[in-house]
Amino acid sequence: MEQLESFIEIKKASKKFVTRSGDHVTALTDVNLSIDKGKFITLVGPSGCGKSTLLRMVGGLIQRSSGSVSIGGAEIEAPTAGIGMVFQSPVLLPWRTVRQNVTVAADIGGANRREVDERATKFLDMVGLNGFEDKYPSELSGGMQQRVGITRALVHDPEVLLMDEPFAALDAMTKDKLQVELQSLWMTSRKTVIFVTHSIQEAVFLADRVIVLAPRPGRVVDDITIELPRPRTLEMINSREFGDYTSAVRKHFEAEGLVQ
Amino acid sequence: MSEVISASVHRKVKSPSRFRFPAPDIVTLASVVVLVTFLSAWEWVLIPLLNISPALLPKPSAIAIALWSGLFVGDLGTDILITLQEVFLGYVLGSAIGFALAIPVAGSRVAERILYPYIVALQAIPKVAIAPLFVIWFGFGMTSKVVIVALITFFPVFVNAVIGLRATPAEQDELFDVYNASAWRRFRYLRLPNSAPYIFGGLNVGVTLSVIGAIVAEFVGAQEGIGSAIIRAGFALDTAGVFAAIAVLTFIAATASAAIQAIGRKLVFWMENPKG
Repeated sequence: MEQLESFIEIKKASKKFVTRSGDHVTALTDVNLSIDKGKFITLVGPSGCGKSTLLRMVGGLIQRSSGSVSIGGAEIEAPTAGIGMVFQSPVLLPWRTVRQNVTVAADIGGANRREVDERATKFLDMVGLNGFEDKYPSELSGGMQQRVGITRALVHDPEVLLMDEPFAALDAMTKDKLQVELQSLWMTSRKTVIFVTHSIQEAVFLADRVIVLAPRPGRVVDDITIELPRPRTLEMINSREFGDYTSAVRKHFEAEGLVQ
Repeated sequence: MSEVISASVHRKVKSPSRFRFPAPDIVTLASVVVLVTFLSAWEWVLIPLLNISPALLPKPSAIAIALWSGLFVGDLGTDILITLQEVFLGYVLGSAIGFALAIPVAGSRVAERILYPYIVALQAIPKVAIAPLFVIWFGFGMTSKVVIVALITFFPVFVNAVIGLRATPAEQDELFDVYNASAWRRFRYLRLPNSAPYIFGGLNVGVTLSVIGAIVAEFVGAQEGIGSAIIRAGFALDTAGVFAAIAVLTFIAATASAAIQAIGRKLVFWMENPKG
């Protein structure tokens, strides 16, 4: 198995940049990561650990300084149609209705209009937004706006879904609800998901594998396979096994805290 | 369903210092009462009591008569049409050029560095001072007025369009990065709608300026137009005629501004407006 290439291969990827004041910063150093198709991966770490940088590298949104990133054997140099991205804020265009926001790819990315329309109807139903297609973003709650953002990322049927702390700005109850919804959405679609979060609980709840990152310089410090059965329920959070996983992640952060 | 929240409602409830206006029909009624009181005091108290000569300050009734006769007996109707044409043509021309120039300036730092100094220098020239030049160059007819109106409208539209075309939030740009959007689509689906609120701000400033521009240009040299009607009435010591022309001008500027705002609210429906 070691020799076979995984779906997503990240090899010795680094990102260095120079700040405006001339300081050299290493955002990410020497990251090696193999991700199998259809897996749900969470990247967890404190701010400044380069988790968002790593996510954007996989999406081709930022150039890496060295190393390689490939998806399905193809080297990633720029964004491709195989990527769907969900941001921390929903990033909805306020002049477009829910449906127009979801199908924006058909206007700007050359995605097939008919296919996008069909999938939009299907996914809007799945996330419970039917009846809201003609509303404008300002008429929706934060949770519903983020559902629109997720639907938009799925509508051109990407192979990889990249999620950058999509639930960080939501209240705790909405967050719980959306985590459960995301899990069932993933279980039906089986996309490869890379999900960035700074919440340990969220990372463990959603993931097949939790990748733990540490800052200064950003690097991978642990790779924990979560073997909790699916579908996972919110009650599981209180279970012994769940607690073992979260403490395994937390101990890295505590160690970091001592270092600083 | 309970999750539907109107964001605008939230914000308004939270400001305790804000005075809540009563129902709009009472407000309208009150402002009409203010107007009627003002005009009555002018007509029946101020003028008779201080014995002001009608050549200095005519009664409102005299102004109304001058307006009526100007419109239906005199040439005021023609003058209004001429001025409206000048304002409209100059405004459309100035706004179009302002917007068109804003695109390269907003889009490229190089274009900005090349063009911006000249545009600012152009704005620094007092348009009123160079109005006689335009009359020399383009004659006493409509062209010189249209040019001056265009020149005066240009700047607010240009400046606001530049700001607006740059007002696209970085995360929206990143969304378009994900889809590998072309420069044209980025402009069409992102920059343009994001700039619309700013452009309408500029258009609204421009519309009142354009009326001023047309009148100043007519003052400098014109046979027709409301500005020239004011000059003619002034020379004839027809003070009521001057007031009548001013009333018409005020009405034109206010109506045009209200129209632009109404169109703006309609097109830029997603921006919160402070109304209600």
